[in-house]
Amino acid sequence: MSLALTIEVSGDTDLARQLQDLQDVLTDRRSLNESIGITVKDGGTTPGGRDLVGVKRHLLNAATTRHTTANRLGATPTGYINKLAESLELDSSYESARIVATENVDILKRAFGEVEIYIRNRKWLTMPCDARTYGKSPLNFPGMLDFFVIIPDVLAAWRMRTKPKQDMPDRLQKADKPEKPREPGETPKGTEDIVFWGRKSTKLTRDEGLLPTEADFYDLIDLGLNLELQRVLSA
Amino acid sequence: MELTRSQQNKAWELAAARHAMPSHLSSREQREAFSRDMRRRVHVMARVSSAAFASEVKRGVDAHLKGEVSKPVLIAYLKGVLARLGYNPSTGFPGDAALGIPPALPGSLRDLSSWKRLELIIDTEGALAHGKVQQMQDYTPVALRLVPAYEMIRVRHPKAPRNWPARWSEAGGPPPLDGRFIAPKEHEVWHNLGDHAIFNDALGVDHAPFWFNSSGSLIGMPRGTCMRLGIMDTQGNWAEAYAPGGTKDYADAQTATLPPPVVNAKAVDPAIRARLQAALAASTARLDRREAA
Repeated sequence: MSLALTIEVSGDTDLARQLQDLQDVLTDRRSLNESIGITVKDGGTTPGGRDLVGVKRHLLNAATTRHTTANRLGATPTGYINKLAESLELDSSYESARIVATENVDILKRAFGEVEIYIRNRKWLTMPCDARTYGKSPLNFPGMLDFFVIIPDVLAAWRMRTKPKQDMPDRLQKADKPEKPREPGETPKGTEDIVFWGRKSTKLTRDEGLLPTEADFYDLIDLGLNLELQRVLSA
Repeated sequence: MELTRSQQNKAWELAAARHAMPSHLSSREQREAFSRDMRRRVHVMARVSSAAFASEVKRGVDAHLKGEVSKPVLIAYLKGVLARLGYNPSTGFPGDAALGIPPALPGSLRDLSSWKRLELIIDTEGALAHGKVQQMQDYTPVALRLVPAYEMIRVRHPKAPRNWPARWSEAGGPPPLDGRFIAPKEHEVWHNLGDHAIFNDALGVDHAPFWFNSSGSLIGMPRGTCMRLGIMDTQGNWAEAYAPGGTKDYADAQTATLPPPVVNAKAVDPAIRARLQAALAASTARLDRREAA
């Protein structure tokens, strides 16, 4: 799935009025839209000498400060946001300019509000809780994990074995269930080597800093317009 | 500001347009045997003699780029395909021994069924498609004017990073700017970094990623930033040390199929020219106002 970031410049603002006005003056708006799109993606420098950071660099900068879980677990960051930044595509035409993200796009939704993720059927959302499993899936460890449900339809876990299942006698291949926690929040006994938690749903908090602010976007659009007008008038 | 679903995915379109091809040759042998143009058109992996597996990988990578299947699920699926095709790291596919394909150490990068080999294949194919799209969009006349240079930045921090200063110099890059690797987009360094005649681990492309498992990314340097850094003057001329040495053929970048629009205000009605000038002044004033705020 791809997601397009659409910014509608509308309302009773100078910029909106001006873009509307230019629609009548410029019959071929391809170059204007491409100029706006490129500036929004890559940034630029205002006539006053202020550097505006584009979406791509903003995302790469944001990626450097979003390693909390990796750092806590002592794991290597996955580069999830970097891959998103590298997948940005520009879609400009006579009518509009859009920035399209094609990889790891779901994280973008967090810039707009809290995101709740559900999973149905017999599957579980997996949350790595160990440096060995960070950025990986239980599928990475065939024969090395024991899966058990702690609270039906709420909480499950995967525990790492010391030896692969096929190397153990049959009677030992079944997972030992850990004790259920007696108090809410208490760590269940026997969970020391749990490497993934499983949940049916999770909430991701809003991440406003993931994308430039709306005011920054307006500046970038204005700069794209400005640079194109400079070119047209100096040609 | 809102997010909307989009059908656009040029990276997927590019990847989907390539064909899968089996080959018993190693990466090095393929570089010698196949032309650059051929390797661009086909998806070929080292020491994969099975056409069935090659086409399953291609189909899987396409689906992954389209967002239809996650990487772990795809890798698990491909491991299953390998098992069904009778692949074993020690003996390869049935018939591999006759082709002279050496055995692979289980779990190593040469082992087709290892997680890291399959992950490398999927990641490399995806990164190449995204890099190619970036190149196609960054070398249009408008993009070259607004964002005329690239900076190569490290976005991942591997345990054993490559020696970038040495590679940059070997590829003919201009002097690093306070340790930053910046060059005009038309500079030959961007052509040379991915040249496997210079670097053994190069992918044979003139766009990012240049090497296998690369931790680098290219980011556009806007014209104003180039001027502020002193590598371009106010007339748009490159400083001597940064000037591209020769014109590189970026014809394969598949830039816009339509010619760029010719827009200038010389011949237009004076009233329209005045409106454009007023619009430019208003835009500059708005940007200045926000800067002051």
